[in-house]
Amino acid sequence: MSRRLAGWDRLVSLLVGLALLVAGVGAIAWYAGRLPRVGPVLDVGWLPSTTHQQWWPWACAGTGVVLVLLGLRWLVAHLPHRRPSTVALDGSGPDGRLEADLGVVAAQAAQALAALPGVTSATSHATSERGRHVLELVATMSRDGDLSMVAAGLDETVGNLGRVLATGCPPVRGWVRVSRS
Amino acid sequence: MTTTSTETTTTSPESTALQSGSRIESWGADVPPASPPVAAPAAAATGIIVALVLLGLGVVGIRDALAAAGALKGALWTVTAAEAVSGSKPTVWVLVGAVVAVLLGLWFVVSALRPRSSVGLRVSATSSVWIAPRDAARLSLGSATQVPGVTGATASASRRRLVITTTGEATGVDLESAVREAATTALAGLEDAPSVRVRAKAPRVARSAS
Repeated sequence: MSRRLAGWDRLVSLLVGLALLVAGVGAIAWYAGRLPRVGPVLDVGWLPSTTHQQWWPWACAGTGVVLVLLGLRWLVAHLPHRRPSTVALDGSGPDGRLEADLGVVAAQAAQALAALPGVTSATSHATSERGRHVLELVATMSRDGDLSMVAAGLDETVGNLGRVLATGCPPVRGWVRVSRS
Repeated sequence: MTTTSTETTTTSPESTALQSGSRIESWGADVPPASPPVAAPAAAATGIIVALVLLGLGVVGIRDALAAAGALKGALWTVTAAEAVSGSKPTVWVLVGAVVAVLLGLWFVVSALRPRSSVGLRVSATSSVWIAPRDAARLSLGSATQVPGVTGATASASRRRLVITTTGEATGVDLESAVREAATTALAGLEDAPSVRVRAKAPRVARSAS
């Protein structure tokens, strides 16, 4: 999830929440007779008369299309998406650019990790967090395995990644999973 | 005029360094550590709800436009809703709706302000290595079931506490301390291991039919 989307979620949730709180408290006060200006009957006669205007269906259509597009865009933005991309390697310059395919490097790192002692299997994926590439390595071990050994294996793999990609290496996060049986 | 040609070359993934598995002296130095893993913000759920509500309202708007054009049968829902609101009185249903609105509003506000929660336990390592509490519980189970007298065990864990429930022929303080010690040893690789609590249950005695 991007930082911008998270910010929008927070902002809109806050505004909608405050609006609901104000409306709810107002309605409770109205029910309790603490809103003398409103009276016992809600007088919003302008509302139905507005909906009987000739332009109302057009307004419904325009607003409806905008809201549907906005809602769909917002929902799609929440779908998880992984972006295996490339990272620039040392040696890139005006005469050319050296790149490594992050997804392929991640797959090779997982293969190397799976061969280390204490690791029963390994996976990896490149993802994007807050606009930055992050490589995640997941090492699976057995229940009776040695956690420190697996952690050392992850250290080793991360170190080798650093040696391969040098300054182009994105942040790497290792995960240890434990098999059920 | 200077022309700069840009050439893209993808390196071979079969890099010898990755395959060799050899330790390097300054490993970790060039690898920026990833930030601690966190859960999705609570506001993501409320954001999705707002998006669905917008989508629903948009569908209603389009539906009313089509109904007004004669493409669909029935009254305009927006007109019906506006007429229902106008002239309404403070009934019990208004109170119920108001209470629901207040509760929803509180949930939305709290979700908007709540920071992301951590989802992993840090493993002692040079790089950024993490284990989920669920996996830490499984790891402790592997050790707990090795303790003599334990025939079965279950475990549940949060980031702060791990509870192991054992069943077996033996019970008592000695067994619990042995299981606790085994679990603590298994989790020794964690930087900030959760506190371990052990409950030893005696096996159920089968009732004989008389």
